[in-house]
Amino acid sequence: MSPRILLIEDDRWLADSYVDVLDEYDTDIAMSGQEAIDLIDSNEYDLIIADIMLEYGVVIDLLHELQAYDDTATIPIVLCSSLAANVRLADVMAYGVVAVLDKSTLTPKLLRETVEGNLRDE
Amino acid sequence: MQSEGNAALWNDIPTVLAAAHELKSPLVLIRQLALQLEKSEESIQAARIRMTAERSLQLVESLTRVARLEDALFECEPINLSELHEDVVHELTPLTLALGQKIQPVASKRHVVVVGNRSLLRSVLLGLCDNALTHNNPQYPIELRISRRGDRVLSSIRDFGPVTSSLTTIRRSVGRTPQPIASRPRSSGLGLLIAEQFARHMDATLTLRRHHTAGVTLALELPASKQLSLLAI
Repeated sequence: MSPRILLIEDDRWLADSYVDVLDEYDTDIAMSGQEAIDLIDSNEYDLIIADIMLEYGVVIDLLHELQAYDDTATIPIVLCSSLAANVRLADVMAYGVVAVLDKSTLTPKLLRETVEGNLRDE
Repeated sequence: MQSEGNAALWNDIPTVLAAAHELKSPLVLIRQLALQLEKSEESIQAARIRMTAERSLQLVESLTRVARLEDALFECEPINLSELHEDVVHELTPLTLALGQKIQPVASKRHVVVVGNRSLLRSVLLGLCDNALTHNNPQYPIELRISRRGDRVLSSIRDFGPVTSSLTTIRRSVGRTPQPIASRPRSSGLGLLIAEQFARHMDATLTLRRHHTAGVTLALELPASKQLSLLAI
């Protein structure tokens, strides 16, 4: 069975392009924090890729929520944002963040390598 | 009242920042879609779309940085300028080739270490080289040169394109009249004004010299790091 990934991205076309790049994984798309929580409640994910700015809020609220439960606190989080230059990985590691990717310079190869290298251990 | 040393454009930083942020998302999407087209079709057009999006993103990213200059911490440190020049030339190689241009670093006999913020300085040099790539006559290579002037160091980019307006004229016009620079119709001079803001933040100055024959030299005058220059010989 393919590892399962949740992609939280409110730009549908951009989300679709990332799903194409990650075609070897089983990837769900959430276009808002609430949609992400609903999906996390009913599925087990091996990794979450999340934009920082979401409709109706920032991703930090969602990460707080994930850290509050044992089963979701260990899901590796990859932040993928145009604001990546303003975010230091060391400052967000406590939220389960394992990598910060800059959308402006992201390549399909880097996205695949980051996912492959950070999937949750079974 | 607008002083000559500060362009009218910077009077409304919040609007500039908002515009830059708005532009980022569609540019990121265009770039991403072009990357996928390149993979599937190896299309030269897709590569050109991607490179154009990347150049636009670089400009937009610089605009957001200008807006953050006062609030964010951009610490200065010793920087080996020759290495930074090589890094910039390397990064621009795909675009340089695609445009049929050539950037020729004029090597310094010894390592020159300057004091500045690496990220801002890199952005300035990328921006100035991009400007030269846009306007240069491809018959002549763009020159990227390092020279000493007392306790200051000049990092200069010489192109052989049409002669441009003076920096003073550009400062007066950008943000007031939506006119391109005379003789360089693809440019409003925005990139130069951004470079000037970054330079000021590093105790550096940007000068523009117009050549009688052709082209301009844009020079960034930076403080030299005397002790580390001696160590690096």
